[in-house]
This record gives sequence, C-alpha cells and structure tokens, in this order.
Amino acid sequence: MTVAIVLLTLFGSAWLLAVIEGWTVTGRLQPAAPLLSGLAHLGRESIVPRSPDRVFFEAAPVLLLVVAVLGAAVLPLAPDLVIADLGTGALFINAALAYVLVALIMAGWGPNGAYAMIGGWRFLGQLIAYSMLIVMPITAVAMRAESLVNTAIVGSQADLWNIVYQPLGFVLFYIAAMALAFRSPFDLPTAEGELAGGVDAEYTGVRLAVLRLARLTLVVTLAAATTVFYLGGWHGPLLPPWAWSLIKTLAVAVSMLLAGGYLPRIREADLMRWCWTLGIPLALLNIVIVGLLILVVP
Amino acid sequence: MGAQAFFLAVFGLAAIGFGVAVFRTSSMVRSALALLFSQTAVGCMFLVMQTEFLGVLQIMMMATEMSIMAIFMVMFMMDPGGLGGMDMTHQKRFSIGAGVVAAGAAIAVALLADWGPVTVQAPAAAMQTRELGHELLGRSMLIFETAGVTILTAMIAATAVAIPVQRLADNGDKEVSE
Amino acid sequence: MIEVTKDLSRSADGLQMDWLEVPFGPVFPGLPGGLKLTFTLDGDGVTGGQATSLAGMTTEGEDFEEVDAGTFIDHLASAMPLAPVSYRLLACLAIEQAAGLNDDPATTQARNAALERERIASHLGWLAQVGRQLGFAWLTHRASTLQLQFRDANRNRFVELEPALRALGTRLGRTPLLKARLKGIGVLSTESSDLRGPVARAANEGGDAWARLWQRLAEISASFDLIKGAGEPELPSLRDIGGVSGTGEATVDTPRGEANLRLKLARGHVKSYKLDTACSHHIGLVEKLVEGRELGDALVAVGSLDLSPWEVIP
Repeated sequence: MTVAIVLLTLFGSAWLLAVIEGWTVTGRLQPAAPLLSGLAHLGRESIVPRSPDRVFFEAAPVLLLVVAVLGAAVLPLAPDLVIADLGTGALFINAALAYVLVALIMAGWGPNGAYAMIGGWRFLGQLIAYSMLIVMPITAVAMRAESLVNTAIVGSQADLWNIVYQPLGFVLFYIAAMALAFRSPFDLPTAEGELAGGVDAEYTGVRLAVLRLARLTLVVTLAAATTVFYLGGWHGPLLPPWAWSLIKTLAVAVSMLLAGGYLPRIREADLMRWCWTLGIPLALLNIVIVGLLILVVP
Repeated sequence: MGAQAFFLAVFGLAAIGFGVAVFRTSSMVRSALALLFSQTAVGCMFLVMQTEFLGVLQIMMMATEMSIMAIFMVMFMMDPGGLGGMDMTHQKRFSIGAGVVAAGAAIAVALLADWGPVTVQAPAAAMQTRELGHELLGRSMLIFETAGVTILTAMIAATAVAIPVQRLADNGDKEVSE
Repeated sequence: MIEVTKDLSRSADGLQMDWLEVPFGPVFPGLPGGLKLTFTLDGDGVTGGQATSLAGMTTEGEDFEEVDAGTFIDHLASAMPLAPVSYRLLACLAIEQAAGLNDDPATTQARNAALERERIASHLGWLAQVGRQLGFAWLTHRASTLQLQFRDANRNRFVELEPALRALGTRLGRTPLLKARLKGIGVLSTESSDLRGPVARAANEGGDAWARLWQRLAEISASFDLIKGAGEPELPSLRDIGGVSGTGEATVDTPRGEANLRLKLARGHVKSYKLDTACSHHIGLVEKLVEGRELGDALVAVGSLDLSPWEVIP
C-alpha cells in the first residue's frame, strides 16, 4: 500500500514536471501531452544502431529508471509514508544515484556512435566535479541529525530547517543535484547544440520513452532529497504532512527545470575547476561550521 | 535463516559469475562494468548479512571506482571495443597455480580461524553505524587517518608526475588543449 | 594480438589513441544549416577540422547564361536567404554603376535604412543560433521573436521596439556564465588575414567570441540609430537603365562583412559577373580556429564567425 502510494506520487510528479516543461517550451498548458507523447513513442519504430553493444544499449534506460525509483524508495513523504526507512538512508540515496553514471556510460558506449560516446565520457568528467559536492553537504546534514535515517533527518529540522541552519550546504547540494541530473546548465552529456542530443541521440521508440521518463523521475527524486535534507520534509502548518512534502518537492523540481533556460551551458573545464578549487573547500568549510554550531549552540 | 542463506548463495554466485565474465569478454568496457556488478553483488551479500553500512558503502564506492577504471582501460588498452577478439589471459599456468593456492588459503582461513561466537541477533543498522563511528574515531583512528593521508599523497604525486612540465606563460591559458 | 592503435600519432598527453572522423552538419542543431564540419576528434578534443558549405552557389559565373538585369537581381537575392536585401542592394548598385547612373539621395537613404534593418535582423538571428548552441533557451526564444518583429518593421514600429532591444543587450551583459563560456574562445587577432565585417572589427577588441558578441550588439545599436535618422526603409529596386552596356562594380557592407560584385552589362542584360563575399574567406579560418580545442569550444568558435553557407563561393 505504501509502495503504491509513493510510486504513484513519484510518477505523478514526473508527469506534472513534464507538463510544466512543455508549458515553458511551447507556451501551452497541455496536461495530456506527456501521456500522448509517451504512447506515440511506443508506436514509433525502435531503431537499433549498427553493431551496438546490445547489453548496454538495452540496459541503460532501464538502469536509469531503476536508480531514480530506488532513490525515491528511501525518501519519506510523511513519517509513516516511506517504502524503506533504511538505517543508512542518506547514504543509500548516494549509493543509488552513483549508478546514474553507470547508466550514462552504458548509454554512451552502447550505441557505437561518436556523439553518444563523447556524451557518456563527458558525464564521467562531470561526476568527478559533482560527486564530492553531493556527499559532503549530506555529511553535514547527518551531523546535525546525529543519524543517517531519513525520518530522523527530517525530525531534526522540526524547529529550524537546514536551509537556514546550513545555507552554504544547501547551495552546494542544489548545484550538485542539478549536475547529477544533467539538467541545463550542466547538460553536457545531452548537449543539443554540441552533440545533437549526445547520449539521447541514438535512442528511439520505447527506449527513448523510458529514458525520458527516467530523466524526469531522477529530477523528482533529487528534488525530494533536497526537501528531506534541507527544507524540513513534511513540516509545515495547516496542511497534512504529505501535502507539504509534495509542495516542496515540486517547487524545487520546477526551479531546477526552469533555472536552466536562463543560463548558457557551462564549459566542462570550468565546471571541474570551480567545483574542485571553490566547491570542495566550501563544502569542508560547511562541515566545520556545522560542527561548531552543533557543539557550541545548545 | 534459510532465506538468508539462499540469498547469500544467489548473490555469491552472481559475484563469481560476473567475475568470470570480466575475463571471458574482450570488450574493455564490458569487462570493467562486469567487475562493477560483481562488486555490487558482494555489496548485496553484505546487506544480506545485515551489515547495512558496509553493504551500502561497497555498492556506492564500487560504482564510481569501476567506472573510472573503465575509462582508464579504454585509454590504455589497444582494443577497447573488443571486436578484435584479443585473448585476455596471460601466463596461464602460473595464474592457475596462484589461483588454486589463493583459494586454498582463503578457504583455510575461513574454516580454521577463530571468528568468535556468532551473535544471535545482529544489532540494528543505526546501532551498527554508531558503533562503526566509535571504532573509526577511537581505536582505529590512527590506521584510517594514516591510510587516508597516504592515499591522498599518492594521488597527488601520481598526478604531478603524469602531467607534462608547464611553461609559466601557459598558466590559465585556454589555448592549451585539456 | 591486434593493435588498433598501431602507428597512430600521439595526442598532446602522449597517449596513442584511435582518432575519429566525425561530421557535424549539414543539419546540426546550433550550426547554420548547410554548413558541414568534419572534425578529427581525439576523445573530445579536436585535432583537425574542415568546413565546407553544401548550400553555396555552384557557379563562379563561367557557365552563366545571359539574363536581364531584373532577373539577375532577383536570382542573387534569392540565392542568399540570410541577407537578401544586402545582395539585392549590391546587384542594384553594380548594375546602376555599369549603366552610368549617378547616386540619387532619396533612394540612397531609403536603401541604406533597409540595409541597416537587415543588419539588425541578421544579428538577431545569429543570437538565436548562439542561444541554441549554448543551450540558452531564453536567448533563442527572445532573439527569434525580436527578429521576426524587426524584419519587416517600418519606422514607427522601430521606435516601439527600441526598449525591447536595449533590454536584450542589458540582460546579456548580466547573464552569469556567458562571459566564462565565450571569453578566450576562437581568438582571431588582427594579424589574421581575410577578416571582414564584425569579425574584423572585433579583432581590435580581443578578437574572441565574447568580443564578437559585443561587436554585433554594438552594430545593432548603431544600425538602430542610423535608421531613426534616415527615414522609412524601402527595398532596393532597380532604377530605369534602358538597354545600356558597360562594366560595373559595387561593394556593400553586408551583415557578415564586405561583399564585392563586378559585372558586365550588354544591352541591359548581365553577361558575366564575379562575386566575392566575406564568408568565402571566413570559412577558410575554421581549420586554424578549431585545432587543439575541446569540442564544445570549437563549435562555439565556429558559431561565433556567423557563417552563412549560401554566401560561400567555392
């Protein structure tokens, strides 16, 4: 029952996100558009490139979808609405999201095409940039909660949300989350103007539908993670807890979606340089500050 | 207990199966990712044995590490696509011998070492994490700190040795190819 | 054992890798349609590149049949869809010079206004393409909307649209990451030969993609002021020349640089012509521009040249 509700919320949010994305691109609000375009994809010819690595080519979209769902499985919508409240929940999200890289490498290597291959290996470079930036803020969050359990992390924010307590961590996590979901301005693996779609380029039909669904679900999962870690999860007056979770998750997801339209794509060299020379010292500083706050403030 | 043993066997066989695939395939990326999934299976074995932190950590680290190994294999090996059907095995007799000896040693250690009494009930995951933390920062702090600093030094030294000598004028110059 | 990388040359980092030859174009998002780039890629670094145009005019004028002047002007204008007014003006000026007609101030003013209007529209179109290449969705949308509004605007409409144009420039100046993306990319210094138009003028300011962006924005402003002072823009049309013969030559500063036309008239018909455009020269710069760069930087550098594949004369 819980599983059904959480999955329904996850895919419902993904659908809503697709509607909003369509709205920003075409200017028309079409609720049925994602479903219709998904069905259209199923009906289209599924082209397989010449001599692909078949295992990787088939597995990549599925793996990406599985990763997004697994990540969402440990995130609570309400105190009693979580599929698996693992003892190492915060770490498990990171473990699941690490397989986004594996999925993109498969999607890059599988189709035996130059655009996809460059896109896939570029994402590896991107991972080198964002991976520390996503783990260190989680560390600081777990420090405040003195637990890795996600419901405990939300519980620790009952009187003060982490975005106020550790704003530096929030900024770094948000940026790293956008880089992980390869959303603009970090959409290096699927750059339309540089790689004609990159890792998405060789997928058609059913596989493309799964890939697109997986990308949206990944954004929703990351938005839910941001909500749980920094925005106080289900805390809020008047409305029931699950409603607050949903509202916050959708707000973060929409902001991630829209931010990209107003910024040009970042250069890979700049991304790596800034994350390593600026991002990691800031993340360490964040941990130190949070540590001091925990020890000093009663 | 029965379910645990069953899943342990399943994941163990998966780990061995993927491990064999590492050497049966000629494609470098398939080889690296097969090793990745072998390690993931080992991580799942940890989860089955109720050491949650170790299992999750294993799964997370291996994903990143093996992917980076994949690109290094593509860089340094001559036939990354594997379409040439290169034989991946070398020094066959020596390696078979070494493998048998290593397997014998591992089995001997597993059977003959004194592992202490089996706990009736594994502690809860949160408790395990807590105690692991105490251990890392208490009794084993010196070991892990030394190991961490040594690895970091080795990484920096290796990178410094690998990059070509830069002329001062090239500093920050975007003309140099990355 | 086979060596896929045997006898291959080594990359900058000393590794012997398999280099791929990858086409970018002729229908590639972010690049002008009809431009075919063939890059030799070492991973994501470009080791060599070549640009050809698949949409350029195929005749140099040798097997060209005599046509009457009006038809020639229409053909030339329709052969250059990205700058039809400029080439129409070029043909009119060359033919009128061949016919011995003097300048008429009234038509000159109207024609210049039309030329400047096209300059604005062309630069806005280039901005939209840059937006597409950089994944900058807002710029693409805004610039293409403005381009459609400006293309056929009369003088009153211009005055109405002025604030929108200024806002675009201000917004671009304030966009984070844009400067980092474009600064130092595609440097063409004043020492390079064959630079024309905005590319040449920007070479004095640093000559990189960032300088070219601001040069084109400045030209949009300047064109705007010229139109406000000049009067109602009017499409260039050929004045009455009768059945004269002669040779004529004209130069027009098209949005992409100076274009030069030389033609021979015989009894009111164009017998032969020789056309020299800026893009024919700029396309040869691509090879040097992309060598040794990362793929994204190379594509941005090529995009910043504002090549029109139709204006490339082989």
